[in-house]
This record gives sequence, structure tokens and C-alpha cells, in this order.
Amino acid sequence: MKLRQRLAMEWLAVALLASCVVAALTSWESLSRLDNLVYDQLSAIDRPTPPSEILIVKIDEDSLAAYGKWPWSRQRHVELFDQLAVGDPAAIGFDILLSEPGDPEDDARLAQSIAGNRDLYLPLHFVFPGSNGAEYDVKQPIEPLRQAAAGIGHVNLAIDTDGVVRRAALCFGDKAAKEDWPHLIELIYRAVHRQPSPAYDRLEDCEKRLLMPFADRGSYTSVSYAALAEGQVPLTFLQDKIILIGATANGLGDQYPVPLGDGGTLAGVEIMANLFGAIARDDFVLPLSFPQQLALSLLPTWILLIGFWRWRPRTTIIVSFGLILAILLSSVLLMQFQLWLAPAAALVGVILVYPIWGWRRLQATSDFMDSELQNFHRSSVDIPIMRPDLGPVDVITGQAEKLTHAISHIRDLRRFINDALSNLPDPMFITDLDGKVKFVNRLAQTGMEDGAQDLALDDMLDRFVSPTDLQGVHEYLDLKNRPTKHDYVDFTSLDGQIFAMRRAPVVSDDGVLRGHIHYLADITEVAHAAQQREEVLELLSHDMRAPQAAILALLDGKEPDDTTSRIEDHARRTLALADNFVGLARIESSEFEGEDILLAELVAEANDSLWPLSNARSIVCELEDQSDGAFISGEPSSLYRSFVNLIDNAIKYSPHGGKVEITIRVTELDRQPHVSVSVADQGSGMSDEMLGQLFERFASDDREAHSSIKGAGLGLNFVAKVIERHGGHIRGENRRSGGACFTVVLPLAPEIESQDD
Amino acid sequence: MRIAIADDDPEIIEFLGKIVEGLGYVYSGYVDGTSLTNALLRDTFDLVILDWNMPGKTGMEILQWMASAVEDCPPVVMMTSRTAKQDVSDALNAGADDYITKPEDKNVIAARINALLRRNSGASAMEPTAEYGDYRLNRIEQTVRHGDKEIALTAKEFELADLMFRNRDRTLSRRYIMETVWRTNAHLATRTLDMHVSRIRSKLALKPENGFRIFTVFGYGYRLETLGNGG
Repeated sequence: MKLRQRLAMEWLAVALLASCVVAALTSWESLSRLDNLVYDQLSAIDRPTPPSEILIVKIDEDSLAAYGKWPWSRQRHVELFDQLAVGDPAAIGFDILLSEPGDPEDDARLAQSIAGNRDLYLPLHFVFPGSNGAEYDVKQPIEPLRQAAAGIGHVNLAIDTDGVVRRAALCFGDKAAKEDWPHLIELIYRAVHRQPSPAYDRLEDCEKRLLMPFADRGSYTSVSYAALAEGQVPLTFLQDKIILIGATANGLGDQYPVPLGDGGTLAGVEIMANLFGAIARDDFVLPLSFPQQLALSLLPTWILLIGFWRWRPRTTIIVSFGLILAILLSSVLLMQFQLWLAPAAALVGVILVYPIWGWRRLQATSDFMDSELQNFHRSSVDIPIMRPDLGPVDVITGQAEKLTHAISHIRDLRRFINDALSNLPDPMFITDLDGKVKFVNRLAQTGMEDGAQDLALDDMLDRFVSPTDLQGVHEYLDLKNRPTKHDYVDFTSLDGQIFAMRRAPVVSDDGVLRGHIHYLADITEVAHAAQQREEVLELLSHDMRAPQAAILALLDGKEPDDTTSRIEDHARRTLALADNFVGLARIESSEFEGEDILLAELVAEANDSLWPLSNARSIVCELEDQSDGAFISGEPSSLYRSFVNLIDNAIKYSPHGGKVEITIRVTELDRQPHVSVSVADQGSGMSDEMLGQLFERFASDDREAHSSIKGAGLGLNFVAKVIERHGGHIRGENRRSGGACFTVVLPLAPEIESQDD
Repeated sequence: MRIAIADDDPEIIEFLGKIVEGLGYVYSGYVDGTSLTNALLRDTFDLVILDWNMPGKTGMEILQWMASAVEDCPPVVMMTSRTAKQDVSDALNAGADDYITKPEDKNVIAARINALLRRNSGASAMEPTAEYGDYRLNRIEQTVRHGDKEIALTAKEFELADLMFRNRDRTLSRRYIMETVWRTNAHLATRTLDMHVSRIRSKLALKPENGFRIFTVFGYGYRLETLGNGG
């Protein structure tokens, strides 16, 4: 896999994981302890001042000391309520449960006393768990008191999972009775302000809990129950006050942990006082809605995730710390607007995502470097470059060192290639796919312009190649599939030098064609040498043959006698020598070009051509063709000449009236179909010395020739060369029955579709 | 019949001249290309025997010049000491009617000259039967009798044999044979022609003992040569 894809996958995985973790943490509130800790610290920054109209009447240790152990008789409260009624407070909240009926007379007396107060509110309690399997029981004040009170409000506390009271339940729904109970304090607010509190109005759901700010401990005005009851407080002090009566003595158990940062508790009545303050100031802190909370928790994580693509690791880590600060800061800021952003999920997201991504990225990069380095080593060219010794280090450092080494290796390689190319003895140039010349080397020495760089190839050729050869060069360059033979083009430059140009593709490592490389070889001298050779061959072929032909023509009219026949023999021998020599020279200098040949026909014609010779000595040349129309791929002229040589030899060394047997048959050699031609005579055979050097050039044939013509010397050497050139074999041996036998084996031509009539 | 012989070697001209006179014709000899071309412009010949290598103009140049400059061009035989296969086929493809490689037997030369003149005089009407040496062709029954032996041939084999007998001692191009016998000018089936020629050779026993010999001109075509009194 490519590094990019791998990293993208890894990134996606990390992003998904981080998002899921953050979302899960947000929705399960599993980090609430951490959030609470932050909340408690933040809420301490700006504590509200308590409203002055609140007066807490504490049932404290002093009161217990004064009136005996709890619970007191209801008569005790009657006295207080009567006393309060005189003081004319704005409202009274009595945070003592009066749910058990006592002495009916006392209860009636209390009800009367309650009714004597303008706005005295009594509490109702939900008790969890309820009796008989109910979720809760609703504990109301007993009937006469309920009637007497201005209203009944619930006083349940919303206790967080850590047991701390941070929230207030302005409303408590009795689901069984389908009845919503406002908080006692809410009722007091309504009594004072003649309307529901704005916070209550805003409640879209009775179950909604609001975070309330707490004033500093002891900042509410309070008096001891006993002090008030004993009349130690002037009654005018009660005028227009909101009086909250409740137990504060430790032994009474109405104490709850509160987020005051000191780990201490607060009595229920004091919490209610704080609640009133919050309602009056309307400064509840509202938790963000879940979608908002989720969005804000995910935001920093995603800022980092996106930043991973853009930023360097150092930037990323700075940004990470910045984001942690920003999250906390936004919590503080939002707090000013009475909004609570729980920062823990967002913090965990940021803290989590950076190391995970760092790990995955390192892993992916490490794997990638590993595989690339392996690839590189597999394909690296062995050039003499020193390898530094690498000591033991950790994996990543090791890879980095290897990479450094690989890069320097490539640098060396590039230098090496550059040196190699520019020091090549032959000129070359490289073109890109648009035909622009991209690299030139030593073109100056060819006479091509020095400024050939970036020239179009066609323009360069126009300036350089002679017009007669231009067409051929273009044809060569236009060829899509080059034949393996003749994979070059010869041309003469404008200043008369002769070049062979070869073009080869330049291909990238993954096989894409990038351009072409053109090699030029100055073959002027070679070409001139070839031309001279051709002239020599021409001389032999024509100018040496012509006089011999003239001699034979002269003799043709003469009466044959011993002298003329010997002159004729010599002339013919010279002709054969010239033919064999020219033939040899040609096959050594030209490329093999095979064509379809019906071998039996060729041998038959070679035999026919020698008929005058054999006929003159009454020798029968018997041709037996068992080749069944076997075709071979060959060069007819040289093969024809070869068989003429072989049969001619056989006739020469045959006794008068003898028989030359020529057999053609299909055979197999190395499991490939071949065709063999054997020529056997009835002569005296060959000496061992001769057998050893049969096919060597100028091997002397020491046999006694019956013809007056001696061997031309080059005959068998020529045959051997020709047969070898055709991919065949030749062997010469003595027959057991006497006489020499030469066997030629040639590979069969591939079958082509028969087109018979 | 008047025959022009051009060769830079007077010995050869004399040799060829004797052969021509032996056939009952007259000849004019030219030792260089220029004198031959001048003569060709002034005079009329029934046949030109042309040497490949001559001072003045080479045989090939004269051949090309004749094709454009001489009206009613007489047949041309190229004489050459060159043996390269390419040279021979080049000459024939350039418009020479036949070629002879020096040195050649005088009887062969005579037969080749006759073959060209025979064609040129148009004296080869299609008789129902024809005799060539010991071979008797019956064109109606499409049979060949060799001596007293009846030889069975397929239609194509007979046509090919007939074509070669009629044009004995003349080099026929493969293309000409394919167009005449198979009536196609396609280059396909080169093996087919080789196989048919081979079958005629063996069926009719066309070998020197019987006065005939089939000769392959590599890269060009075939020639049925008459030996001895075959013509």
C-alpha cells in the first residue's frame, strides 16, 4: 500500500476512535467526577453575595441545649409561629417535616398558629425508596397543617453521583400522581414577588436540574431558634424578611456536602437559602444541551485531527496544550454567562488523540520505510560505493540512517550515471515523449549543434542528417515494434560522416515509457572498410571470373586435345575458387536471411547441374528422395553451392563407372524435426589425417582425384560454414563398404498453412 | 534476324557471334555501352545480348535507358560474370528478358537465344498435340506421354508442364507462372508452386538423362532447360 493511503486509513481510524470515545464519554457522563472537580474550582472564582432579606432560623446546638432533644413537641413551634406572626415577615419556609400526626389538639393548635402567619410554607418530602415496592413515597404534612399553610413545596435535594449537592430541583414531579411540585423556595419567591421565578418559567421540563451557585459559608444572616424564641431578637428585625427555619445542629443529620471547596457540609436550610439567592438573582448555571456539549467536546479533537495533516509534530503538540487551555478557558468564560461546559470529555479527546496518532503515524512510516528500503536494496545497482557501518540503534533511528544512506546512495548513483553517460565514447541523446531533446552527450563531436538541448528531435535531424537518408531515419524512428534484426539505422551526416543510430526506450521503474535514448556510433571507418571489402568481392566476383569465362569461350571453338582440356580444367578451378571465396566472404559479412526452400528440389538441381561431369565418366548419381516435400528455411544460393560442392567432390573421387548415392530423408535431432542429405561415393575414402581437418580452410585433400581437377580447397570449408549458418550439422566419414559419406542435417522450416489446389 | 552483342571483351563477342552465326543469324558487336546505345537509336535489332559490366554505361543503365528511349524494345539477354542471387533477380526485375551467367555452354546459349526469338516471332500457336524431345503433350486430353509411358498429371500439373515446355529455355517469373496457371497474382502459396514444380520434375523425370532440366532462379522463378537435342 502506498504511504499516503495507509496514512489516510490510519488517520480515519484514529479520528473515528477519538470521536467515538469523546461521544461515549459525553453521553455516559462517565467523567462527571472530573467535571465536578473542575466545576467546583471554577465556581469558587466568583461567589455570589447572599440577598439581605433572607434570615435563617437555625435549630442549632444552642437551641437543642435550650429545649431538649429533638424532636420537640409541636407546642414549641406554635410559640415561635405566633411570635413570627407579630414580626410580619415577607414569607416563612419551615424546613421541618410534619408528616406524622401527633396529639390532635396540639396539631389543631399548630394549624391555627400556621394560619396566623401570612405566608408560611411547609415542606413535602419524597422518600426513596418507597414502601411496598413503590419508587418513592410522598410524605405530606398532616391534613390540618396542610390546610393551614400558605402552600406546600418539596424540599428534595438533587445530589450528584459524588454525593455533593450542586443542583437544585426547582420542580419535582410526582409521576405516580402526575403532579408537579414546585420547590418550597419557589413558592416563597412567588409569595414575595407575586409571580413564578424566571428560572421556573424557563424550565421546559420539571425534571431539569439547575446548577446553583453557593455563597460563602456563613454569609447568610442567621439567628438561633432559641434566640428568636426567647425574644432576644427584636421583632422589627423580622419585618419583610424571608425566614427559613431548619435544623443545622450536627446531630440532626440534615447536613449535605456542598461544592464550597472546603470539603465541608451545609445544612439543608442553608442550601435552601442559597437556592433562594439563585432564584432571586436568577443566576443558575445551565448545563449545555447534549448536542452542544457533544459538538464542543469534539471540536478540539477535530481541530487537532485536521491539523495533523498540515502541522509539523512540534506545532501539533503546542496546539494540543493550547487546546487544553482553551477548553478550560471556555468553561470559565461560559460560566460567566451561566452556562456549564463539561470539559473532561474534550480534554480526554485532545490528550488521547495526539499520542495515538503519533504512534500510528510512526508505525505506518516505519513500515513504509522498511518496505521502500527493501525495494531499494533489491533494485540497487552495484556500483563501487562505500557503505558506512551502522551501529545498533532503535528501529526508527536505524531506518532513518538507512534512509540517509539510501539517499546518499542515490546521489552517488546519479553522479555515477552522469559520469558514465558523459564519458561514454559514443555520442548519445535522450528525448522525452514530446520529442524534445533532454540530454546530450558528445553531440558536438558529431557535428550536431552544441545547443541541441531542448531542441525538437525533428529539427535536430533536419540540421544533421543528409536529405537522402532523412526519410529512412524517420521511418526507423516511427517504427512502433522494432525487429530484433537491424535494430539500427545507418545514415550519412551532412558533413559526410556515417552513423549507425539505435533507439531504445527509457522506462520508469513501474514500466511507464518516459522517453527514448538514442545512441550514435560513428561507423564511417567501418562503412568505408565494408565498402572496400565489397569492392574486393566485386573484383573477385566479376573481374576474376570474366577472364576465365573468356578463356573457356576461346577454348569452346577449338578441337579438344590434352592441352586445351587442361587449360579448361584450370580455368574452371579458378572459377570455383573465386565462387567459393566470394561465397565465404559474403556469408561472413551478411546476416542470415532464410526463405522457404524445398530441399529435395535444390539437391536435385545441384545434381542435375553436375550431370555433364558425371556423365562424361559414366558415373551414376542416384537421388533417393524420402523427404516427403520437406521445406527448410535457408539461403538458396549458398545451399545450392554447398550441395554442388559435395556432389562434385563425390563425383571427383568416384571411380569410372561408379555410383554416387544421394539420400534425402526426414529425421529427428534433439526431438526437433530435421531433414538430412547424405552424399556417398564409392571412392577410396579419406585418411585419418584428413578426417580430422575436413572442414578447415585450405585443408588439402590428399585423396587421389580421378578427375584431373583438384579440389578447390575452399569447398568443404564453405559447406561447413553454410550449414552451420543454417543451424545444421555436417559430418564426413568413411563408409564401412568403402568410400566417403557426407551427411548434412538441417532443421525443418516451421509448417505453414498448405495452399494446395 | 539481327542480334546486337555488347561486351567489353572482344573474345566473348567473337564467341557469342559464332553461336549466333551457327543459328543462321547475323550480329553486330559493341565493346562499350555508348556505342550500343547509339546503334540502338539508329538501327533495329531482334535481340540484344548485354554484358553487365561495361565501360561507358553499365548493363543496368542501358536496360533502364532502353525501356524509356527505344520504341518497340527488342528482348534483352543479360550476360554476367556476377553470381550473386540479388544481381540476377535485379536484372530480371529491371526488365531483362533473360540472363546468362558466364561461363556457359554454347549449346545452352544457343537454346536460350532461340527461346527468346521464338517467343518474339509469336510462333507458338496452340496445337492439340506437341512434342518436346521424348515428351508428347496432348492438350485436349491433358496427358503427357514419355516415350511409350503414359504419365497421369492433375490439371494444374499439366498446365504448369505445358507452360514450361512451351517456354523452354526461358526464365519464367514465379509471378508469371502463378498468374497463368493459378490465375492469381497473390503472393500466397509460394510453397504450392514449389511443390508442383517438384512433382512435375519427378513425375515426368525431367532430368539431364532425358534431355531436360528444371532450373530454379532463386528469388525470381524457374526455367526448363533443354539439353542436347531437346529443342
